[in-house]
Amino acid sequence: MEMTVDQQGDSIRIELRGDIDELGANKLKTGFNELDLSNCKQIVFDFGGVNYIGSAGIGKMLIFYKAIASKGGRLAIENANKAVYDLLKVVKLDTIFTITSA
Amino acid sequence: MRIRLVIYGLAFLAITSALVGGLLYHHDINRNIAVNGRLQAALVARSVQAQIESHLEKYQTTALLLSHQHAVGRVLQRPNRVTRQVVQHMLSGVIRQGELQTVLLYQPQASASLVHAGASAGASGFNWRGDVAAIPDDASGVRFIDAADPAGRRVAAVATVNDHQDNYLGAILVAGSFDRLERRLTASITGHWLLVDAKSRVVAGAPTWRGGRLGSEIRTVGPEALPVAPDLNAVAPDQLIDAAGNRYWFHRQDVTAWPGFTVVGLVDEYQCYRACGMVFNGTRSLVIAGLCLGILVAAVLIVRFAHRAVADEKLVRDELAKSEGRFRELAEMLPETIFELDRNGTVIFVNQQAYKQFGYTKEDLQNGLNGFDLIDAADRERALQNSLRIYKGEKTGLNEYTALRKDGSRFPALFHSSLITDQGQPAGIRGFIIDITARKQMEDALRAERDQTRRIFKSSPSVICGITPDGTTTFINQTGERITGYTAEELVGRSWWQTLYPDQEHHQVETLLAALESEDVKAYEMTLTSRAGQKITIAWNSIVNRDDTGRIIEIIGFGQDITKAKHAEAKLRNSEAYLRMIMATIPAGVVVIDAKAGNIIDINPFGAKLFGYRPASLIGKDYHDFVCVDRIGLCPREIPCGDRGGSDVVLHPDSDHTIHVRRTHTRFPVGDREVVVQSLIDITDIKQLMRKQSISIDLSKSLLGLVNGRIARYTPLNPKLALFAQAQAARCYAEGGDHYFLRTIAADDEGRTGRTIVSLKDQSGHEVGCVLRSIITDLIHHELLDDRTLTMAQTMSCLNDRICELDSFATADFLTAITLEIDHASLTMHYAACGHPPFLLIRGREVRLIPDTDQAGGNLAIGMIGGVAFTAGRIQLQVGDRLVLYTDGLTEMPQRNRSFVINGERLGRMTHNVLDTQPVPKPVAIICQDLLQKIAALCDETVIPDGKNTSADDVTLIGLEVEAYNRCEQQVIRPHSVESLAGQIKTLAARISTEGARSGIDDAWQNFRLVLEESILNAWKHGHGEALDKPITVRWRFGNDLHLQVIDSGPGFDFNRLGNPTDPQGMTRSSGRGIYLMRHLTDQLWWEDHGRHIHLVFHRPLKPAAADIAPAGASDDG
Repeated sequence: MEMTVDQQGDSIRIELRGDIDELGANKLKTGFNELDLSNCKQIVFDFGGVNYIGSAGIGKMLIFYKAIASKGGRLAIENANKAVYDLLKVVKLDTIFTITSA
Repeated sequence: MRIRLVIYGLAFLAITSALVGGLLYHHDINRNIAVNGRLQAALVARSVQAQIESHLEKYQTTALLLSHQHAVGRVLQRPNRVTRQVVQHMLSGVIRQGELQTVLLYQPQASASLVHAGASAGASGFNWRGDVAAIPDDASGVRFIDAADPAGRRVAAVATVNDHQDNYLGAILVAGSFDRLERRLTASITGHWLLVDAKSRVVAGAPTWRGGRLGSEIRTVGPEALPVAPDLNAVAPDQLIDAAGNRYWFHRQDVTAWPGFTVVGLVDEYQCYRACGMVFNGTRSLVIAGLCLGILVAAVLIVRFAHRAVADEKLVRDELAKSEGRFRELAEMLPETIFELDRNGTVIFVNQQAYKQFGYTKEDLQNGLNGFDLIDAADRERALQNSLRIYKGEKTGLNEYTALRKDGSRFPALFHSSLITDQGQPAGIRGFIIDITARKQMEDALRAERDQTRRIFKSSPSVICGITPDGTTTFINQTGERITGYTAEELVGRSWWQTLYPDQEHHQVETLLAALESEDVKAYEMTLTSRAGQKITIAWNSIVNRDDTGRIIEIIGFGQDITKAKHAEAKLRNSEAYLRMIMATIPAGVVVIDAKAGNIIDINPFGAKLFGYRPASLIGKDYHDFVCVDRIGLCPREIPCGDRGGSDVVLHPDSDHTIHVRRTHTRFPVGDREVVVQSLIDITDIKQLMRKQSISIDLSKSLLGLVNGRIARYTPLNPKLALFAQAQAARCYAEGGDHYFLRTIAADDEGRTGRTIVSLKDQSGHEVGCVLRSIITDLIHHELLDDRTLTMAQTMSCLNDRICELDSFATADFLTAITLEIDHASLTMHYAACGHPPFLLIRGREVRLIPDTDQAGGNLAIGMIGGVAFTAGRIQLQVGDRLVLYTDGLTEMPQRNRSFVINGERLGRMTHNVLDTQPVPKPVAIICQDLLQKIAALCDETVIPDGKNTSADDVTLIGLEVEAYNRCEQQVIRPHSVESLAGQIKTLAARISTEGARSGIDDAWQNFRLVLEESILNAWKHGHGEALDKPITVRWRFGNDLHLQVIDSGPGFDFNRLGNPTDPQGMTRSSGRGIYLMRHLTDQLWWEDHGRHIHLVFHRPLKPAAADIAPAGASDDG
């Protein structure tokens, strides 16, 4: 799983490519921890390259959400494919942060 | 005539005399002119000659004088001053006269000539030497030599100078020009002259004649005839003609003093004519001319006086000729043949029309055509007699004969002839012939038309009669006689009105007469009373004949008996009124619509009420404006002509109301258009009732569902085996008919093993009570099953008896049923088919229908007759056996569109073909699906389980399969690291997915992977505590569904106490969603072994691979 971070001002855009399985979730968490969230108000995950996400990946997204929400920021997921989008809706994550499909 | 001849003779004589005299006079004149011309020319020539010689004489004199002076004074040798002065004085005097231009003294002994020039131009260019040298030395006297130089014409007189001894000393040349002489001569002499030298060169001459310059036109002078110019031609020894045709007389006169020179005198014709007026010697001619003139005058007088005498005769003759000419002209113009015959009957004259009409030619006429040849032989004798009468002076008028053409063809003609007289004597016959062919044809046509009119008159079905204005009958046809009952003799001459129109109806007569005064009357109805007293209504068309003053003289009537039509009309009115009354009172809407345009033509009050408008306001409106667009049923435009049908339609009179109507329609032609008549019955209440009924039916179905429950997909038979069961039902009728259940009865303490009962039933009929009967039937069945003492056969017998006893089952009500009972322990299956199609047992690739005919297990339908002992069949099931139960809706599906039912043998064949498409045993769920789709395609029906069913009946299939748990694939995962665990999971997921695709499960790959991953990760994380040395066992099996098992060796967990990750309090937890997702993404999930062994089932979607399904319409036999 690969991630590309683009931080501009108070917004961070993270483009993900690959499967967010157990392994991918760990890499995601590692990459996220390296981010400077001091001035970040918004984190946007671009899921355009994500084909699969498991519960571990979902759990990591929640960790990220809590991290940014504690600073008053918000988290969004964009360009999720249908399977991923449906999965995130099943666990009602769309009620916590913004999820948009491709 | 004689006088004319005499007068003409005298006139001729006079004219001739005049002509002769004139000719003689002319000849005389010409002769005189010629004589005068020659004389004039001679005079001119001599006069000019004299003057020239005089002019030359001066030269001569001068030369002589000078020569003498020289001789005396010896000027040549020693000229002294006095002599020179004298000579100069003399020369000057001569020169002053203008006639000399130069004088030369020539002394041959000198080497050069001595020139003593005069006052005028010198002798340059003058060839003195040559000319003088020609003079002999001993010559004496003077001679003239001709010389010319470029400066002008010169004539030189040469006088020799001799001494006392008469020795030649030299010469005196005196030169001068003739210019002055020429001018003087031209002015004084009438006529023209030329001075011509020996070389035929014109030296001098009159410059012009008749405007032309003579000298310039004259080039040469011929030695003979003296044509002096190319345009002067000698036509006689003394006449010339120039290029313009002017005639000249000429005379030549030699110049004596100048040998070789000649004077030519010319006189033109015009001058001669003038001269002739003065010089005339034609006394004789004058006398003759006078005589001729006198005779001419006398002749003119005679002719004139005689002209009057013959004028009248001529006038008469002219008039006669004109008249004849006009006659001929007229005759030619007439379209009739005009002829004249002589006394012998020979045709002496015919006009052009005769040639055309009869075909004869002028040659025929010349050859003596007889007039009677123009008449056919049959009429010739009569024509001859008439001719004789004409000769006697009688008038015969117009006679009709048959005319005969040259080619033998005939035509009718009228002949009119009259006598020609000559000096009071008959000279012939004159007449005209009129071709009456067209008239004859017209007469024939008129005759035929009259005859036809008479026939029409007689045979016309209409009354035709004529009456005078006062009502007197003039004629009546046979139809009139028949209708009135009176004969023509009884009516003609009598009053039409009084006979046929009694007093009480006479007002009709007065009205008619008043109408006829202004115009013809059409379709006027009058009721007459026949002889028999019947009232007969006639529709009359009347026309009138009027005289010149416009007064009506006759009324002609054409009448049609419309009595019956009137009666029919009255009947029709009554019928219409009756119909209107019915239409107004029936409690159903009747609307008539134009089939093409769709607009309302007619509607009854009840129908208008349904539409929500008054009837009058609906006429002409578009019917579709009042019908719900999506629930219009069959549009009137689409209804074929002659079609009768019905449908339910929803009207919307306004936006708030809808009315359900049951519509029946008929389309048929009326006149030139087609109409659709619809009757509309308001079924809104019925619809509401049905809606309520639907609610009741839904409730009943819910009850049935409660009674029977749902078929368990998997029923464990024993630790190793499970019974897969799936029902695929497509309802046709909301009221139901097919019903089924699967019930498992557990083993009891009394040693009875567990058993599973599957029962599929089909109630007769499809009315509302069908569901209730289904409920009752299954309740009874379940009750009976509770009694474990009953065998299957006994159970079915009791069920039959109980059903037969029930009042809720009418005599005609029955049901068919197929019931199976499978013993869990032994896999022995008992079966009872009660009037139901046999079920299919598929073992491997073998297909059997059970029960066979006459085998145990085949029974009557339930509810037909009570007290029947039902039988049950028995068979030993094996692992992998597949059973298909179905209702007759499946096998009878082709009945509607293909007109056949599928018998057992065919069904078995079709099932076998379905099996053959896969190498691995096809799951029963797919077999049922494929079979259903194949049969539906064969019948052009759409039958979708729990969905659409276009066939004629409910279709239900129940597929059962004995599945073995332990026939699984297995892989043990040993995670050495998180990375290796993730990789192994991914690889395993791919492997299982590939196998699934081969098995026909190829979708939801992502979901399966997630479930697999979550289950394995749970086993690793929660079961093994993330230990990397503990194996995790994964098993999977593809059967009717995909079965997945994940087994760990952990402590297990309480799977009944799992949280809800979607609970708002726990929403943000980062873990605990795995099981939630697995539950969501699988169809079945359960644990064994305290949570250490999880079972996950993915139901196979009913969407088989395309290769398994035969195309629609293909043979079911493969």
